[in-house]
Amino acid sequence: MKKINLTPIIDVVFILLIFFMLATNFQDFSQTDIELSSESSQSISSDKKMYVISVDKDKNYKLNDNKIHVNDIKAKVLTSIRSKEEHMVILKPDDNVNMQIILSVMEDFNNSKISNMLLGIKDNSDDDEKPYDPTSRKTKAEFGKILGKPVQ
Amino acid sequence: MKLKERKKIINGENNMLPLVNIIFLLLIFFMIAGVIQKQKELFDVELGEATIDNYVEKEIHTIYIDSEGSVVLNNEKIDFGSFSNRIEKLNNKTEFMIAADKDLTADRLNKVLLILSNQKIEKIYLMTTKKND
Repeated sequence: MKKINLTPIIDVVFILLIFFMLATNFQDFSQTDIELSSESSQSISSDKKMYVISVDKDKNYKLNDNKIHVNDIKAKVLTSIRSKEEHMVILKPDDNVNMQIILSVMEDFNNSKISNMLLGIKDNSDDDEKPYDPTSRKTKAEFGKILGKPVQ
Repeated sequence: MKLKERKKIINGENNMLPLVNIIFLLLIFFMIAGVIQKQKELFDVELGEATIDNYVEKEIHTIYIDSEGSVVLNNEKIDFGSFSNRIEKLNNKTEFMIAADKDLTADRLNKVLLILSNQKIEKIYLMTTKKND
């Protein structure tokens, strides 16, 4: 019986193999859209309930400047979501917190069905000139908490 | 006692079969597991890991920020001092993708976000690599 010559098929398979090895990409990306919350924005003086979550590089959390466990923060936010109360969740990472921690916090909250988180940005340039707005519904103390310094 | 000498069966094509099997397996692996897409140039940026939303490849302005805070805008390294002007001059600046290094600190990210916020950018996406669970 005449044997089939395998050499041409091996050639073709080799070429295909090399093509797929070079052309394929195993890097798998993900993305998240972020909404920014600036301290200078109008929304800060709105009637909404504010959840300002600070996190440091050791993943210690503060909610509106009070130390609290992350699960308690989630529980409070979820209560607001369930009761359809108007609220804002703002993540304010400390300056030395790295990107990986920010992402893991966002992912953690997202997995807990809290997806409406804003990323707080600090406008350092006009902090010094920003006067206390007496028409704002916030008290001086509340405004001071947001600014991180006492308001005159 | 003299042992009977065995005849060696030499058959070139039969010896190739294990090799062909392995090559076929590799081929099938690369065909199934790999995704054929353009390799992204990430400019020394090691992306953070998080699986939040699926990545959608689209032609939008991309800002790469490495761990030192150096900025690359649309494949062009730019000085941070001129970053704001460059953003201002861009056309169709409604959406931006930020590919930030996992070691980039929040204060450096804040500087970039502040500029984008001042330019009234509507949508900003953070690019990450998917977590391997």
